[in-house]
Amino acid sequence: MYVVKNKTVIMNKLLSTGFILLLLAVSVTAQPEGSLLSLLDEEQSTDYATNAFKSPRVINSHSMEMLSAGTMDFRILHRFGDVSEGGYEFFGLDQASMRLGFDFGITPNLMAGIGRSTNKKEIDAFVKYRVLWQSSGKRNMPVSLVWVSGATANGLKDPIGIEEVPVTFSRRLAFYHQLIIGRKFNDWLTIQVTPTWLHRNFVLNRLDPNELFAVGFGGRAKFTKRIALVWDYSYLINRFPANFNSHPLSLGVDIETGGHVFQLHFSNAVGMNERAYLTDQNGNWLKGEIRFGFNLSRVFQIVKKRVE
Amino acid sequence: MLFPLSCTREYVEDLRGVCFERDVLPIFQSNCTQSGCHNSVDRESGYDLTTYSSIVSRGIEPGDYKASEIYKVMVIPFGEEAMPQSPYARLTDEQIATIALWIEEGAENTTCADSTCNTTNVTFSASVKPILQTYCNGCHGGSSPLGNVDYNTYNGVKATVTNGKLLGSIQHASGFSPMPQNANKLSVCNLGIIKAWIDSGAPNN
Repeated sequence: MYVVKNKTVIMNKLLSTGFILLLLAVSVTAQPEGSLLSLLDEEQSTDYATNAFKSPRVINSHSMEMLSAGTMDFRILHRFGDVSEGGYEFFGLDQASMRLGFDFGITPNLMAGIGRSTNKKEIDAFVKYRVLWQSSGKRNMPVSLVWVSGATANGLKDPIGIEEVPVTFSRRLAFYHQLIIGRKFNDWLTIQVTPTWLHRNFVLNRLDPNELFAVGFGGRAKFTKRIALVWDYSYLINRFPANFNSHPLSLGVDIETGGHVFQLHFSNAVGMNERAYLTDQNGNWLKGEIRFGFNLSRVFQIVKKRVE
Repeated sequence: MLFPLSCTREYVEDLRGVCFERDVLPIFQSNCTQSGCHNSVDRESGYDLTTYSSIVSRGIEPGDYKASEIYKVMVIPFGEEAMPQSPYARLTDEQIATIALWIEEGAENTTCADSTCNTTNVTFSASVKPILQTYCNGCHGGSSPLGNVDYNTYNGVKATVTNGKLLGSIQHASGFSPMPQNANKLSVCNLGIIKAWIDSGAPNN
């Protein structure tokens, strides 16, 4: 006696508008640099902010950093069980969950990636485009602006679990769009704010919103040349139930060793893609329901650099 | 550009509505009526959450879950008001959603018969665990489970199968403390499901 109903569809229009805006932004900023440079006939050069973060992800969420063109980032994200489960479960380390991902740097301002998580056997993919790049000098830009759009697909045999409701492909899907506004203030401090819009094609009751809005606050404080403190929090504006405990908060340390970046962290989130960490039930930091995790990232040069 | 094409905004609606007796009452009884809390004797802060009439008498605004005190205390992050209090585990999203939907539908005293009782093909994860989650985990879950009975994991459940406590308690056999406390005995169907699972060797399936 379960039925599937539809909420209003105005949002579909908004979604397509979003894509048109993205295309517009791409076309505007994709103008050759030369045309802008020729306007200013000074010998001053432009300094672009690099290494705002050590990798294209803060911990869970995307960072303002991009992969360089022609590289592939092989990322293995691990998240263990609840620390509060105690010694018998080795503080959660007995239960590992992971996300295996490949990210590709296509141009200096464009990257794309795909990943697969243990959690809900979910596949996710995204495209990330840097609209504005923080710079100083000739071209002065106080912030970087990065657009991310992605999709997730639940891969469980029966993701809904109600006999009367058929599982269709579209009911497995969720989409997200994100704007990362970030600034590297100086060599040791980077802060970014990320308004996010997550759309789920299918939810389990009428109070649960199909459109979820969130604002992420991430940052990095670099102590030494190789070690930095990173944090990543998302305020969920219209989550149902409006349970503040479930807002994802992660704190971690990035360690850089050669071509690897190790990210060690504690997080209350189980999931490691946008749909998962924003909408799944996360643990309560105050009750010790946090999980240890580490991300391993190895960057390979797969397309040879052009010799200028 | 493929993405918007398959964009829908669907949700599931249970035409029968939320069943108070089967879906809501056990959540209150299992999670809120421990000794010293919201039972008919202690009535902590004036709340008695053991029966329908006592539950709706306070903190529930039929039709408006957001204005209902009982919903609010379940979702606030910390402080003395946040319920259930430590060491008891907070409610799951699913449990909170059930209560919110029930309030939104008018907080009525709905009852319902279990449509069919299926005690064949009983598994731990699909059949037994949800029952324990609803009726037992309020006390026997979370970070410090009561009575050394920990139903967070299969092993904890298995231990009480082996020593006979699980069946003894829920069947209200003599020599065992009757469970769930401050609440009705489990339905014949739920008892049947747990018994069938134990009889098949209590596998972790």
